[in-house]
Amino acid sequence: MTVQRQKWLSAYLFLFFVCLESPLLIIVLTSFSSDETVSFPPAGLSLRWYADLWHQLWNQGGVKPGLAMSLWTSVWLSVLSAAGATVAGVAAALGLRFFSSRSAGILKQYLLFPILFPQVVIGIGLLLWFSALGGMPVWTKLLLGHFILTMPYVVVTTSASLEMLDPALEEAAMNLGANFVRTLGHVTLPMIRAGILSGALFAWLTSFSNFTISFFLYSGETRPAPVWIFEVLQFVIDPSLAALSTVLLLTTLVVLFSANRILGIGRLVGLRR
Amino acid sequence: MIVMTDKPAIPELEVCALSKRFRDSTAVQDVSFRIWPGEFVSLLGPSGCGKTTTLRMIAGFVTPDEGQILLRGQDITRFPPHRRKVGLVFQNYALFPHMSVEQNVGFGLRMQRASSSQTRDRVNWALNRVRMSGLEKRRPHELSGGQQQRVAVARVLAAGASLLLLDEPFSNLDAKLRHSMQIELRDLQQQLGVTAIHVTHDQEEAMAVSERLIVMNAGRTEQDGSAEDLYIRPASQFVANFIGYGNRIRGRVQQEQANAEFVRFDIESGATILASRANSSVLTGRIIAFVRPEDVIVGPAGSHPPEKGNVLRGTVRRKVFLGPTTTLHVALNERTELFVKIASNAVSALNLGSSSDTVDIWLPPERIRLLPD
Repeated sequence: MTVQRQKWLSAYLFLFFVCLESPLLIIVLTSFSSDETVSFPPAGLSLRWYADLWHQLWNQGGVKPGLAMSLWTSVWLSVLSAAGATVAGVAAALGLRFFSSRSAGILKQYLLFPILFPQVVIGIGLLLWFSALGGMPVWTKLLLGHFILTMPYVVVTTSASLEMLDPALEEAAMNLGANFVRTLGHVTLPMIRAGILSGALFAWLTSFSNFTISFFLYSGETRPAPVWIFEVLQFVIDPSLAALSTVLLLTTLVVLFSANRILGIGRLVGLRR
Repeated sequence: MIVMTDKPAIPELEVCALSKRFRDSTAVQDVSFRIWPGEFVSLLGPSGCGKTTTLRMIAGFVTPDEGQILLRGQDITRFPPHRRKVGLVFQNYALFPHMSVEQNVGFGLRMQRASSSQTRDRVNWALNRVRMSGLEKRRPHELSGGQQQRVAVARVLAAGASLLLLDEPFSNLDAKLRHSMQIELRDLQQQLGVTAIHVTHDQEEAMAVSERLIVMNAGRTEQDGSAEDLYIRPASQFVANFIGYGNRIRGRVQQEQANAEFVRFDIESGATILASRANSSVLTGRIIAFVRPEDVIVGPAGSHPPEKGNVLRGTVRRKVFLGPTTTLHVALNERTELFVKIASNAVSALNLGSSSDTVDIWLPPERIRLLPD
């Protein structure tokens, strides 16, 4: 009976994951197609679209120009905005502790607004602001936009870690002669390391895969990879885009898995120190 | 006149009229005491009595609303915690989980920017004192509760604190280990000549480790004295009931007094009882006569009491054998029942059960203490 129940459970889990991951699965499968156009199921398997992608990367012209530039933009944009969001988010989470639990709760709600509202609304809002201010470089606009979008994740994960931190540890440090800054450096930050790193990771992931905000703020050649894919998609649909998506997916997975190897999944979600 | 005293001129710690109100309640109200160098003092009281708040004010984690805290004569009331140099041993030890034993113990020295050789020597010395040498590289989670406590003590000793604050330090240990750690900590404190303030709700623990107890209740100090003082001469009903067990008999002091030595009072059953004046904190009006179960003398009904007076007739309702002693529940009337503790080998002399359960109770006047009702 138990065996049978386990079988059903396995079947259910299998179906669950197939449904969950099917969009990714179809992209990955399509990327290995030997067809000229995107179709599913592919008639044959090949690596030709990966070769095509490699070719595009080094050729600036053609129907799909600017791939290298957009990948480079995505990498820098996601790393820089995640770094900024981490510094600001950790500072915000630490600052929230100086308020009463009531005020801190209200302030935290405000800090979370950017991820609670539709990104289209945030995007339009940012567009209006930036055009009102005028003359801002595209990089400034993209970085600010992504910073606003990603910082809340850092606040959430860092606050969660801080709530689990035993206040006696910080008091012990102070009692032993550590001032505020040294208590922070020697005890508080090391103890909430996992929360900070998982926040930074979420921030990077959010920025790296973001389309909506980027779409409102990019201009010219400075367009992050998801926007580039969308733009190209309007003119040509061939499996090289699936190949690019697979590469991006793989990059994300590699980052997540190496973070997991360093921290452990338990630490990543803040369950284990 | 010159008063000779063995106390040094400056107390290690002096707390003057300390008060703290939290939003909805008064945690500590007008608390004052002095701790002399080398003393081991317990702040004793039920939870919520203000003892922990007092300790946290001394450590600097709670700012008092009123009053002063003097450490060796210096006013530290407004000092931040990291500049106080008082060593706090936390209830859960609060060892840094991301540091080894060695790093934990050396933390205070690193904060004082001591040289690495000095830090090493001092860490070794402190770990040696708490018998933890050889476990330097362990992480806190690899240690037993008793070992964690030793590291916590070594950590404040290494940092050079001469005043130790112990917040319920034994409550997370099992009973057997608790006793040996109490003895160990007390020995260590005496060898090093440091001063310790110990917070607990456990009166036995306080009596076991401390030479002086400060009993707190509802934010105030009830009594400050040795364990014997508190046991024999409790100042209030609260202290009388908190320290050990006791019998309380309601009564009213008579207008005309017996003599200089004794005070006479009536109890509800109508009998008149004498109590010595020396032990009593009130001598007029409605009172509670307090007497310890082991101070009550019991004999067979009709037997001659050791002295005249203070003899009451009672009925044994319950007899509880506890090994060396036996507790008798003796009813004087419908409402008043006394607990009497006698040696178990004296029970047979009472002839209980054979003819009747009636006994004579004698309350020695010098063992009765009158407390305000």
